[in-house]
Amino acid sequence: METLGTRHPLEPLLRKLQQWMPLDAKEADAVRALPYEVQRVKAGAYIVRDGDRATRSCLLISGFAFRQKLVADGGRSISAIHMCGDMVDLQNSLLGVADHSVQALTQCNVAFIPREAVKEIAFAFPNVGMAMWCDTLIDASIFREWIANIARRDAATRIAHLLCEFGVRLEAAGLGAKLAYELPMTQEQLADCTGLTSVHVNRTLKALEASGDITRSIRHVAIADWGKISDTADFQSEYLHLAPDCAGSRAA
Amino acid sequence: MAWYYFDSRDDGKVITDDVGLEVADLETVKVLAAKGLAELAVDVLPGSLERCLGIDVRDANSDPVLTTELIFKARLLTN
Repeated sequence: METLGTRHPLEPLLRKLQQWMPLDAKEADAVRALPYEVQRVKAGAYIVRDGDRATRSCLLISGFAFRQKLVADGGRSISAIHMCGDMVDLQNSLLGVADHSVQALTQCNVAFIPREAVKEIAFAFPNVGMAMWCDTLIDASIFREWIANIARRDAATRIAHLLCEFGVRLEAAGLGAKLAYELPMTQEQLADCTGLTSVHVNRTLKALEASGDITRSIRHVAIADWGKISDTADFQSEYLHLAPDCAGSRAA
Repeated sequence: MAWYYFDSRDDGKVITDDVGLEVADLETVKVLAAKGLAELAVDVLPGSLERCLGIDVRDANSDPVLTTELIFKARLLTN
């Protein structure tokens, strides 16, 4: 079995599922016993391609990835950022054909889990299935927030919102602090997340710096006043369902 | 592909682009400047009565390659 250091490669998945649903020892062991194959993926490489017939589900065990769709004129829309512990295509375990692509944002380690094994564990251990269900529901909640962000917020609000969300999710995943982190994205990628040009992203980041919402040094982002940037961003974290009594207890 | 820098003007205030963008050709530079200018307009024109916006593009040697300008004037026609 391939391992990354001393940690079991599927431990990030277990941590993530337990965020949504308490799992007992048997259920946790069943998650750890899932068959998997770890692959290192270079930044920019495709993890899933639009139109692929899904034979496996992909768990991000290190690095960052994004979901994207291309439109007819070649424009790209990024619809989600993923980090360690995220199943980047859990819906494919049931839908069968990928309806969008997933690309590595940074160098990643990805555990590929056979689609049938994902289905089997979901039915054999209903709490694991419920946690996976919650995970896809929360993905959908985040998509809705991103649609509202792009549809109805101005550029500064959109970008500040993305920075708030990234920080909160990073902290929840145990990967950093929401007040200071490395943002592993170019301005073009930020533009594709927010439906803006990189020209306007550049200008808007500078405006956020000038207003004291953020300080930046290359890709390092620091936030001095969470209340201030949350106001700028129109950010309330409820849609991430991170509160302890959010997903799990309702599902129980 | 070549690097270009898109500096923005909002009335007298200039925001200098210190990151730049790698762009295929000057036609694409023009398209990006126009889209960027339109996005700036969406953000700042509501509430304005007069405003002059622009994007000026430099190449990697800081030589100007394109200037754009958008002038907005609003007049209320009723009392």
